Amino acid sequence: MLTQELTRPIRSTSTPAELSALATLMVEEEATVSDAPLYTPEDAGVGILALGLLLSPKPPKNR
Amino acid sequence: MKTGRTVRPGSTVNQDVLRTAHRVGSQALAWLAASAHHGAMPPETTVDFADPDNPYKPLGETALAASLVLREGVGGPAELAAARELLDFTWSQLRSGAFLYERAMRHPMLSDPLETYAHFVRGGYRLSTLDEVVGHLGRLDSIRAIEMMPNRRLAVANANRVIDADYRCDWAALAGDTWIGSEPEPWLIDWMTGYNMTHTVFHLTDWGRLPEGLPAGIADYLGTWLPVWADIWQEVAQWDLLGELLIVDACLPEPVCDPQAWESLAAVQHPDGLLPRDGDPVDEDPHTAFKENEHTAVVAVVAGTVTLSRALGGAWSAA
Amino acid sequence: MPISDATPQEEFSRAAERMAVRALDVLSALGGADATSATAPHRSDGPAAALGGTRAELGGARVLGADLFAPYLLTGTPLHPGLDEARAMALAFEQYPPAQPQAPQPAAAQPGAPQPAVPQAADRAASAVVWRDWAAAEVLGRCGHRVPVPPPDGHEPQDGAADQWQQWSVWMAQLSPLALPGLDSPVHDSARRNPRALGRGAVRAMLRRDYRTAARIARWLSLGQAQGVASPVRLEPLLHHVRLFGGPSARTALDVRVGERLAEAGP
Repeated sequence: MLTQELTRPIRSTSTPAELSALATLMVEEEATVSDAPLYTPEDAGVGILALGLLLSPKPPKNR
Repeated sequence: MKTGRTVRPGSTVNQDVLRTAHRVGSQALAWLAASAHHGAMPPETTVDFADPDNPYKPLGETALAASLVLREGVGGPAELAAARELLDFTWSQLRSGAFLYERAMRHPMLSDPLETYAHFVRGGYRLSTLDEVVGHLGRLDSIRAIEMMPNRRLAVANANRVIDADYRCDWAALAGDTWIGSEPEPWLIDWMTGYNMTHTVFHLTDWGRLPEGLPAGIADYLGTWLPVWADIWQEVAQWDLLGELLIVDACLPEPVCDPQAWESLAAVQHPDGLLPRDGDPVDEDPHTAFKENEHTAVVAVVAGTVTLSRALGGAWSAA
Repeated sequence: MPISDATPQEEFSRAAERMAVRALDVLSALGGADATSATAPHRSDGPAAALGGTRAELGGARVLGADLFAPYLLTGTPLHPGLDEARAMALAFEQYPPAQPQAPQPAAAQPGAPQPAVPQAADRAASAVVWRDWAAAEVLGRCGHRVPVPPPDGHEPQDGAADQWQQWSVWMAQLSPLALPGLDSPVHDSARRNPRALGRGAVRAMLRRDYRTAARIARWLSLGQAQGVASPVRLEPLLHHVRLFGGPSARTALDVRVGERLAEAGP
């Protein structure tokens, strides 16, 4: 840190906090948490190796 | 209808990947064999059910995995024996095919008896009455014209092809109707579409037996984008889907997925071979754990088997 | 004396957003339907003349870097020392000079251990800053203002390993301000050599719904396409999607706009 103080141009009044903030912003990383698509109940059909069973209209009441 | 096995060039075979794939697959097979009794069909089960969580889906899936282990013949003697035992067990659960026959008779417009039967035919089991019924139904216009998802239509076509060596259809047209057949924007895919895509590849290639069944455009497209899908779903612990993507990888002219994908499955596999379907905790009740993770074990067995087979040029064993 | 309780990072971030809004406005003005007005420099006596009047704005200019001049580079409008952007950037470099150069730290050498092929995270970040500063100084130099920046020696792009496309593409996202016509460097060479890795990186970001990263990577594909390197993914629908789904950030909008302009240009 002292080295930085001595080599900084005299006109600069930047603070270490500012320089650090700039460095962080300049190399903004990708999003840390993925929002990749997951299963939703709206997806048609539940069984994956499912055996031909489609979402059907509401079944009639049992007699 | 024997075809030459398309062996991948030796330079693309990663020995570490093969070891991991074999270990994951064989441990999953061991777990399936030890847990299959949880998938026994309750004696009072009738052929009338529309429930996606039906009692015989796991039986059919187990039969699929076992039939592929025997078809490829790349496992050791213990694995081959386990596969044969699983087929015997599942076939007996279905009363040697009588259950499938009765369901086809009662629900002739549902394709699941045909699709399930195909796995047993592949493994060497036949029921002549069922042969006759599915053969007759398959020639009816009403059956051919049933409205269904394109990847399901491919499932039916492949099941027909497995059961009847002389079966013919326009595979290119069926492939063209699928999502992957459009070679669309790879950045707009959801979870269900991912599974639709994997199944399209499975049926076009008969689970890796016919890599040339995958149209060249689709194969090229997957060569570029499959690693991305594997990456994003691995990151969110979708192990079941990742396993299916690795089966797809094994169906391509050359594997393109990162070897790290197999390592990630090995890392989450339990000591008894259970492979969790996702990052959620596995239920402590063994029966529930079987119901929830059986599919993933099936996927792992198939993925390990086809990966090894493509790399090693495994012997083609007659049905 | 800070007026608000905002941290420096928040202040600079907001200022960078304002700079991006400004750049988009300038781009519209310069690159509008009336192409003959493209030579008119932004007047210094207008309401926007106070560019760089606050510490926050100077920081914002440093964050944007070469992108502050994107409107000029994209439209072929001549650069000159009197541009507000040039004066602001020169002041910004004076106030916030680049850190002294550090050579990339090699991992502690073990006898017989293989050299790490993958640069460490800190090295990648440091390399990104060096290249961004290089680009800003390069453009500023063409405006007639010279500012000292560490040379990018020793910070060559690490694009060799096929299984590192994720890391490399994110690094390229961090270098998106370099993806402008008129700049050329080993980073640009790396981009042109690896359109498939860029495409995979962009699609990965899209699926993670990290639209900012997707747009930043896509700029490289657009630039490559303008230079005759085919993109493995169609850029126009991807960028349009980011424009609609990518949230309110002006910096993302600027990345999208740059990508769209370059993609329109064609090979």
